[in-house]
Amino acid sequence: MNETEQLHGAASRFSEMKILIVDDELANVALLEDLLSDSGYTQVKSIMDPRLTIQTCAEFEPDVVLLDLRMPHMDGFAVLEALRAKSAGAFLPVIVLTADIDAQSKYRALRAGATDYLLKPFDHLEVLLRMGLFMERRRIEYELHHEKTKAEAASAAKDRFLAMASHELRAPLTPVLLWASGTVQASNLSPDLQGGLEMVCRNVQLEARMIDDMLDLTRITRGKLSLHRRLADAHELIGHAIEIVRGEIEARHLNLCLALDAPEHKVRADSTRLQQVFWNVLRNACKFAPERGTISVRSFNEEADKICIEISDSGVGLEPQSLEKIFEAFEQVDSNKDGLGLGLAISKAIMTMHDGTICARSDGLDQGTTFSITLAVEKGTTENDALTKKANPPK
Amino acid sequence: MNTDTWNADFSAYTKMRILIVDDEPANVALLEDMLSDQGYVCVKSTTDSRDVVELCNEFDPDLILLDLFMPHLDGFTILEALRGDRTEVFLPIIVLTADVNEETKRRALNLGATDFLNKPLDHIEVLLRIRNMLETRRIHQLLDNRRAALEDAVAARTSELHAAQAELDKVQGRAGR
Repeated sequence: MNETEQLHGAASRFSEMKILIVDDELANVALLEDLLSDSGYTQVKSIMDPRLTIQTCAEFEPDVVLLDLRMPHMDGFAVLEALRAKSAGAFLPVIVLTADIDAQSKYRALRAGATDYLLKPFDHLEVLLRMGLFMERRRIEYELHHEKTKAEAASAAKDRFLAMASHELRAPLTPVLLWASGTVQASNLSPDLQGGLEMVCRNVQLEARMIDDMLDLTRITRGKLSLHRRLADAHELIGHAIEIVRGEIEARHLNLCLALDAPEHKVRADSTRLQQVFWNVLRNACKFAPERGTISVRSFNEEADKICIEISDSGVGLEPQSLEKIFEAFEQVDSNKDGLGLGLAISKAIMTMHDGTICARSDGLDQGTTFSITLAVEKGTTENDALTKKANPPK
Repeated sequence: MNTDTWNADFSAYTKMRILIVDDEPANVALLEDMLSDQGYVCVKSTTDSRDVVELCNEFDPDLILLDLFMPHLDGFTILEALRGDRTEVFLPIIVLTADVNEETKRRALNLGATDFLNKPLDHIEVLLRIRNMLETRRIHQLLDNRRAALEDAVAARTSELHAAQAELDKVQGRAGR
């Protein structure tokens, strides 16, 4: 393949790319137009009045601009500045055409935003070579842009799919749960049927919870979980969370010790999410405490501006090496317990988003486990708030 | 001449690796000075063209400045060797020549030269061509990385889903009991 073929080859690959020539000299324009169209470029436009450059660029959307420096009305430098002001951020190669080889005007043009320059009289080989290089550059920028758009579209599609999947997966569970939980209360059931229906309820609830957890975790990893932080009462939220696990506490005859003693317990938090954290940890404690064991929940202001909530169980406890791992997604220290092991990972993410912490400690096997949740308090709001009266946690 | 303002444009590429190949030590020194003045910190050079292929493998340059007429192996032979066994992302090779003959340039371009610089070297032209070529290479790399990242993300996602699926199977197995 000889050089001409190679450069023509380049032109034919880029023949759809658009070139704008801005030069007040008809002879120059004609020469460049001929050279480019002979080499296979089909989309060449020329203007001889530089004042039309911006408007023409907006309409024609060129891939490369060839710009004369010396023109009446508006010189190349002024055009460059106007172009760069318009197309800030986007890469539009502008090649200035100049007979002037002094360094001063080259610097000036480059500083004003010229990408490269071509010296007059034109060396045909150089014009075509430079053209090919900038067309290649444009092509690769297009591709990059295309990849970005594709990735964004794919991620948006995935989000949509997950949102839809959650709804679709969860929706069929609702009528099952409604019917089963209604029927299980009827008095004339055989023990067999009663037990069976309770099993149905348990498993449907478990399934629903796992779907919710998976979705939460997906949202968290994508940074799609947003908090609506308002003034909230931490003690009240603990109370709500305890209500949700009360059934489990009673079923396993657990002893619940409450000591919510922190004088400052107002926090700026997303109350639904913070309650979810308390619930996750409580649920965990219920799961790990032995039958007739003890769960204790206490709060205190370790530092004046922080509230710490400790939830302990009298269960088997944890080995030191497991203490960090339990906050990782899909980690289940004891694989005989149900669930995906996502609750604590979600809790940790929620606490981090609240600029708070959650950690676990255990004195070893059979010494139980204590989870500490720490969060900044909004001081001075506790006394005046009517909510305080309702905050008495359920006994 | 205010070159300081111009420097700002180069700061993004000064960590990219440039290999200079010229048998004339004076030329090498001139280019090295120009580049280090501009803030380029990863510049390697050789005056023996027989070292080039090995140097390329070791140094993994982002851009090569290549003299055409050298003893032992000339620039054309090196172009052939480099383009022959390198299929990686866009590696710009700028050919340096005092020969303004069109035939010479055509031959170099056909063998895979990306651009050329005429000797005696014009300071602005050298820096400008290098900047433009490094910028293009950076965009090629961005595109490659993005594609690779996308593939990685898909792979990671798939294995995550498999893990979740396995967990679900396990849980369902237990629930059935």
